[in-house]
Amino acid sequence: MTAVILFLSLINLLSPQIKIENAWMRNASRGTNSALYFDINNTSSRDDELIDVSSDIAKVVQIHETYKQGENMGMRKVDSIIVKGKSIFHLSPAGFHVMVIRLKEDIKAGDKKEFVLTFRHQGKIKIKATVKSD
Amino acid sequence: MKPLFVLLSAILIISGCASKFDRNDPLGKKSFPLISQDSTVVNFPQDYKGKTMVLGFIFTNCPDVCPLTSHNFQMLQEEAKNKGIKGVNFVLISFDPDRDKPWVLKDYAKVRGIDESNFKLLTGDKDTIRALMRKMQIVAVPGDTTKTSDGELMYFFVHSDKAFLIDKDNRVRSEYRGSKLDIAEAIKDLQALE
Repeated sequence: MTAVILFLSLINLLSPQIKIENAWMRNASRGTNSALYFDINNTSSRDDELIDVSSDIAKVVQIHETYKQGENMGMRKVDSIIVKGKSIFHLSPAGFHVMVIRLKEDIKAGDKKEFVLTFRHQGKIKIKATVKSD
Repeated sequence: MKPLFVLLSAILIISGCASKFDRNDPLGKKSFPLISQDSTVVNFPQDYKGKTMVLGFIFTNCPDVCPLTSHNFQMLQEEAKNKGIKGVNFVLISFDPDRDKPWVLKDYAKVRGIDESNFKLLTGDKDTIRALMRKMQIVAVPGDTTKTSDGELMYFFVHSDKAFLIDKDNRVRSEYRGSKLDIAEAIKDLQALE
């Protein structure tokens, strides 16, 4: 059994089924908040689930969604994002995003910042997000 | 019957040509003393009389929706400049005066690369901001909260996403969604008020 798990993990490492594309975040100064956006491309036929995002650049990193309540806009934490097999899930402004709360440093346009995404099946994926002033 | 029909049609055509705007609501004589990112006092809206104003409401701890509004205002500012539209002021008022002090707004302007020549970020005391929000029918109620590792309670707002076009006589002429501002449409509106 252990050998099978090791073998599957090795396959995952060699040919990742989850690809993270177009990762970017907004510029912001130390002590304030930013948001991280990216596309999750699930190339396998099996559903997967983003269950955690972490980074050393902020005190808190959480998966959130922006929602409309009548004419007003709000945000709420979500536990995870399910990415259906053979589909692309977009995290984008005014939609699902990763909240990067209380930055420990200034992040300027052009910088690249590291995050670790954890998927239920794929495991951990390290990404670098480009900082933009959008 | 026919002359009446012609008269009514003429009135409709004339009124349609007279204004492209759906609103013409005076902001009234009440003054709201606010403070800018440069710590100068701004009497809203009186200090903007004689100038066109694009007005929005944000809080700087908002990481997703409010930056879209700020960015749209910056794009509109740049486009208005490119089109040679003069005498326009861009104003973002914080509905989170407890945290958005003038120096916080200054830092926000700096980090976002805002051209501050005709762009003000305003805050004020709680009562003044609340009164102004009531006047402009802006809603902002604390919603989602989270605690940082050192115990700080972070709160976010469920809030309006409104922006306004205000003419030289301090009259609201149009209302937009700040985060989804149609720059081309807003430029046409600014040109119509020149």
